Amino acid sequence: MFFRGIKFIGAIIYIYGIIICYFMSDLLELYGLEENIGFHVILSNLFWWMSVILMIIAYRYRKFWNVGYTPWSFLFFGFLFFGIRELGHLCTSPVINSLRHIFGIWSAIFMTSAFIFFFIVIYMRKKPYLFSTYMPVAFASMFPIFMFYMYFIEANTVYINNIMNIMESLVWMIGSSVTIYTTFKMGTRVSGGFVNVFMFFQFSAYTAFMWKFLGLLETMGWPVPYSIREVVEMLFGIFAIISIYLLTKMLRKLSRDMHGNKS
Amino acid sequence: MVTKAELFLNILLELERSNPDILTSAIVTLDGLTMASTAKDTPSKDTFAAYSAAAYKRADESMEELSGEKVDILVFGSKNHRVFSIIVGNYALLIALTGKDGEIGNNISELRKAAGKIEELLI
Repeated sequence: MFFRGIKFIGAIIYIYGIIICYFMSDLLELYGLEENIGFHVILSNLFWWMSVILMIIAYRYRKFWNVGYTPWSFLFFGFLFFGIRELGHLCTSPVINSLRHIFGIWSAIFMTSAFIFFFIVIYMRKKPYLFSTYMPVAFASMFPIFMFYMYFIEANTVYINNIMNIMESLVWMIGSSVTIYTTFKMGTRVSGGFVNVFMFFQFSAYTAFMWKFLGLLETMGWPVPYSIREVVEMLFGIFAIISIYLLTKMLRKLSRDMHGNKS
Repeated sequence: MVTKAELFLNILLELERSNPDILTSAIVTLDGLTMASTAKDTPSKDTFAAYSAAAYKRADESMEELSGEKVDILVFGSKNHRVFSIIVGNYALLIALTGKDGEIGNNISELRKAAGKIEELLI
């Protein structure tokens, strides 16, 4: 019943998305709005917020894949922060854009950490140390402090935005490289549906790396067409939504099998 | 009214009582998710499930390649232990970690009986 409701909401969001995008494309032609408020932004937001909804559903069934509370929370926050980051696309202010990059950095840190924890539990068969659960949080909290420091020393807002953009690119590139490794290794230890889950997460990591690498090249002055980057980012969202959908489907099936009553 | 999870656990506990050679047992999906387990430590419970399902999957692929059939029972052993995996229906596996003292035939017979009961619950 709950899942049917989610499907219904998803369908409504999708239809509204298409209608909004239709009018948006007209607006773009009429007023020549900036490139970062377009069809791809609406689609990207739809993809990522659908992923967040799927992640919430998967989180409800976390006891069926008992890899620990911390990795589940980190994975959830990874998706949530990326959803918030994508909302930041709707505003062109450099301050909001800097905050958007902060959320992007947090998303990269928490997603990467989640896969490192999965790797420790599934591949290395060890329990993560308690202090290691605080490390990603401590690392993530450094970036907003740095950003506010830049504001306090009265640095130019566009300059701060560029710095945060470069930092986000670097964090995503390092994080996705780690995720490529961890998902590959875990794929050798699991079976059935989990192979597909980790495979699609790995595809996501490849596209995330490529998306940020192209972004970094552009920041450094290399001409990279914006449309190519956005297509790669869209693929990143599609692969992420597929992987989280597969995980949710598997956990829901098990839940259905386990919660049937027998008198 | 009891849940399936409780019934699965009862079957496993009954199996372990009937055969003291069985150290730990579990019912896992072919994806490696735990349906019921008598292992006490939670992370080891899930690792046991994931690895057993992966081992079964590899054996099944080898069997399919060699004989064109599916694996019914998988037994592998070390110096002091044996692991038995028996397919239950199309979706689940009954896994048991045993010592080396018991007879293999007797263990398989006990496990088959338990697998039959689990299959009835899964339908």
